[in-house]
Amino acid sequence: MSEQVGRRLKTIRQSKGLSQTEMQKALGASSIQEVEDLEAGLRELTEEQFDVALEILNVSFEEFANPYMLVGEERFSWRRSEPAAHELDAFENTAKEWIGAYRELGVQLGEEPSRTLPGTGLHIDSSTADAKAASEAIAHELRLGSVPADRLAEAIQRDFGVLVIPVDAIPGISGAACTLPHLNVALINRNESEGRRNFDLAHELFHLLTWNTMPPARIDGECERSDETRSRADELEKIERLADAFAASLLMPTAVLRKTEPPESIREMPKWLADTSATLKVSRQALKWRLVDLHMGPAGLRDLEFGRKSGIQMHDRAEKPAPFGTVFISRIGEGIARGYISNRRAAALLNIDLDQMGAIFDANSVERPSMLSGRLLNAA
Amino acid sequence: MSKSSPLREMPILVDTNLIIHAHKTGCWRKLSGAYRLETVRKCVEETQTGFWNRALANRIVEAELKARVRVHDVSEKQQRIIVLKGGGGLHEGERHLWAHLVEREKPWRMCGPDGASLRFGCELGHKHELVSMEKLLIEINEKPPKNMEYHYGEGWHCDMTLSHTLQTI
Repeated sequence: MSEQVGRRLKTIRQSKGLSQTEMQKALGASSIQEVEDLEAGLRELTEEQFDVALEILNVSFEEFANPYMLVGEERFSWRRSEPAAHELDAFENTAKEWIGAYRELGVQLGEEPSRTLPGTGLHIDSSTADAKAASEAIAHELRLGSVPADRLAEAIQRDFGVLVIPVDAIPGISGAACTLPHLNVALINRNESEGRRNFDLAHELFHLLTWNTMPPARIDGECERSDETRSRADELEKIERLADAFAASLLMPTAVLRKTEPPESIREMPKWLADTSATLKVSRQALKWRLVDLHMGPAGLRDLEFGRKSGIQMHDRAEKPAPFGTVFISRIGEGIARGYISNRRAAALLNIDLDQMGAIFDANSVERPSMLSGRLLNAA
Repeated sequence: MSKSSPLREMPILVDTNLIIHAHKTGCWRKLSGAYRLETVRKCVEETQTGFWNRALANRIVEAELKARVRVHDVSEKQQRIIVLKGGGGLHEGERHLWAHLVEREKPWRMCGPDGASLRFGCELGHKHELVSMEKLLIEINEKPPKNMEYHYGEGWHCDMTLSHTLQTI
């Protein structure tokens, strides 16, 4: 039996909270060793055992058959403003398959699992000052420099093994953090403004770093059940405040802002904010509140409004990141090249036409697998 | 024309990729006229899906396709076997094709130019049943068309099957 099937069996069993002993009894296996051998792909499930396994695991054939679909070992936390629950559920299922494919192909390709994330020392009783201090430590560890937004995505992928996936999310979704055994993921809506994307990424990083001590809600700040207590609701709100404080401090470090010179006149602030936020690749709003937090800037800054009245037109000229990102697409490409996923299966996974597959690789500056190269047999 | 080519004496199972590319390159009629081509219903369905922004001339008419190719159905039981053998990286048509083939008595050949499908076939021990589109054309003394893509050729096919065979040792 393939190792893939064994992995699938083990993953689903663990996610359902079943022991190997329970599986042994259900399958009529002679020993726990037989179950271990099945899960290692050393022994083949009979068709009868497969039927029993589906029943005891309470999964459909289709769910079992898709090795890329996560089955409950993951935790998501979404930043959303609009979409209805059923729209979010559907999008989450799509994201689960992307993440599951990345993980499964990684195992097949023999890639190293993700590194353990560094600790931050933060917990629910931490203050926003603690969160900001932690962010400055992280920024130092990642060597983010004077424009942290520039290097954040690359640095957390390189040094923390966090997978960052820019996606075409449904409207109203800014992003999500997803944690599962041996993999941490940040999904970012590539269609949002640059400043918003960067802030979301820093915010999701906070959740990934602190999940063990401060697990966020599935939807930022919202209780999942109506019977959850007020104290739990307060806790979730606090987690989001800490996340925002962390993100602001990470992207706009105190030392960097102290070197800037906000004008003394409130009338000059809109333009200064526009220019400086563009340099730091954050939103004007985020920069304004960060200055207020640091007691920098002229009097009246807190009450400064943006919009048509400011007379400053903001245009997000930054290019959108390529869909899915280089790291994710590289893995898909390697999987195609080594025969672990077919072209058509990969196209279906990415929800694009097969004809568009080559363009996805080009957009991410990843070499196309040979089947997508367009090379002709009789090319000169 | 190689009238005695053994390939002409046995069924050749073809996947969606082959069907579409043969139509695109204009050699479908020659191949389907010279060989006993067969496929599975899911592959026929896939040739009809609107994924493809194909020019009108390249669209495949289902009735004509079925008139030139024998089409097999695949049971859920057969599909389960493929799942148990680790076909999770294949798309539906590829899985259905292999689901049909694993219970098919030899001789047969399969032409499905995709790396994952070839790998799966090699892992099941069917390396010698896999054949490239270029070989099918050469056997009937047809020159590969100018717009035929490299991975439908014999060179790519041999490289891939050798690589997969070595990895399964």
